[in-house]
Amino acid sequence: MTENILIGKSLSEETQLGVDDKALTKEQVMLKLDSVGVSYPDNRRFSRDKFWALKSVSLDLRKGETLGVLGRNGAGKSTLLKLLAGIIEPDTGTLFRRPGVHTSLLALQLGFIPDLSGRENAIMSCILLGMSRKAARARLESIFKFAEIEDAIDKPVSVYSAGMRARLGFGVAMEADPDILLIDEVLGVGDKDFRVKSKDVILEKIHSDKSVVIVSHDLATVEELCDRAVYIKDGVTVQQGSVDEVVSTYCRDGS
Amino acid sequence: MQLTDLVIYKTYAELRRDIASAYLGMLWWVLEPLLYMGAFYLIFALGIRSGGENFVSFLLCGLVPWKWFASTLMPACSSVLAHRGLIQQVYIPKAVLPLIPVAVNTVKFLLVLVLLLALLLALGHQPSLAWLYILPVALTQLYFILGCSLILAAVVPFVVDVRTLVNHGLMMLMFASGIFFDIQQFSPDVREFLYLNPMISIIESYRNVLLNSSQPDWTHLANVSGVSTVLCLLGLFLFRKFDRYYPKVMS
Repeated sequence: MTENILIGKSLSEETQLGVDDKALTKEQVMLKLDSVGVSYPDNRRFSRDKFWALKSVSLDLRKGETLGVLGRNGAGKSTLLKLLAGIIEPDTGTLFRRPGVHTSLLALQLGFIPDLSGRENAIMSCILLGMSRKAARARLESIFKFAEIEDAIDKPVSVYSAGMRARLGFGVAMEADPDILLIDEVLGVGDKDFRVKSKDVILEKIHSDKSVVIVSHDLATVEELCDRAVYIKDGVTVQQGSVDEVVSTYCRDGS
Repeated sequence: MQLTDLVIYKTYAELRRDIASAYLGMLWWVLEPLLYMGAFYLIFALGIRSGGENFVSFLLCGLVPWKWFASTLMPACSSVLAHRGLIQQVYIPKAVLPLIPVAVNTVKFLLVLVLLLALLLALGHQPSLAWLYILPVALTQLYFILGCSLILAAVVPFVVDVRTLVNHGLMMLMFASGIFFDIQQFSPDVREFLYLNPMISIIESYRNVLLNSSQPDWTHLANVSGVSTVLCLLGLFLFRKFDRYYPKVMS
């Protein structure tokens, strides 16, 4: 690594693309983790202990690909997603993010307030996902159409059925359209018909030039959708490579 | 992220929720301060002090700005904690979170300020151009509230106990802010000490402007602005330092 790589910092400057990364074709790397560790403070009083959720995770994500992250419960998958989403920072190792790249977690019903109407909640969610008020308003119509709740937009979300709420949440999340989409497990929401529809939209994103990270412990999902995979165990990258290789290591390790 | 849009829309949403969640809705923004002022009026004006002619307006000019200060600080203390779920899902600069209760309560205060002016007129005070000085006084107070809110919101996620301290501290401070007494009745030494509390200067300025139609004490307001600047800078520094650490503390 070159000297402008800082330990424990998120790097986002163009100059900090390491010289030795040239082999990876520079412009294609969207995100790169190099032996990253993330610790959480211990919540007990006066304790200075730390809990290391990630110890040494390395992976890279290229433009347009779908990367599957395999790992069992407690492997550090949700910490990894928060790290990739820019919610938390690494404590050790380096994280490179391509400048100007917008990453977001597929979060449903982000910041919903039950007393407010579907319209107001949708605008709120869109703003939280990085849109301006104006842009949010402009997209309302297509969100409501997609979510199939056109008759209920001005009713408070508290009177919505669980399915309606899930559809609205999903509709908003799909409108946000980040460059890197991070998905945690669930690929379908709502009732049967909508589940098909929502899966279709996600597949569309996966097959587009968006970069997608899917975190799962479901092998079928990863085998079906991902171009490459990473296996993480106890906060350490065990293997990164083709889906077949990684899945077979994961299976062998499981028993 | 469009931060101004976030603060504006979140403020709007909080106010809307306020209206939607109570049967009387927006009426409470006026009723609640009236009840609040009424209670203190009963206790102090009729009961303990049975003060003179002008005591009612004297009391109101203290209570209204105090209420703005006190009712902002409690939600501001909890503002980062209250969004613990949200900040696990999306990155938001945490420093915008305390701005929301500040904005919400400023809107409510403006409404009550109008009410206060109407009450003063009803009590026989003559309106004067000096009333325009209310603007710099209120802005100074807003700045002070902002400073307190930022620093408290930044600290509370680490030490939740601060919230309890603030709760009780506010109660004590209320009686030390010259709402119920005129600090000019004390000896200069004591006064000097009392002026360490910015709310004293602020409340006195409101009274100077509204009751005496005179100018606020600019030196005092400048002092308050100085304190507020320090508080704001310190708060922003903490938020900058711990921006991506808060989600770890609260997960």
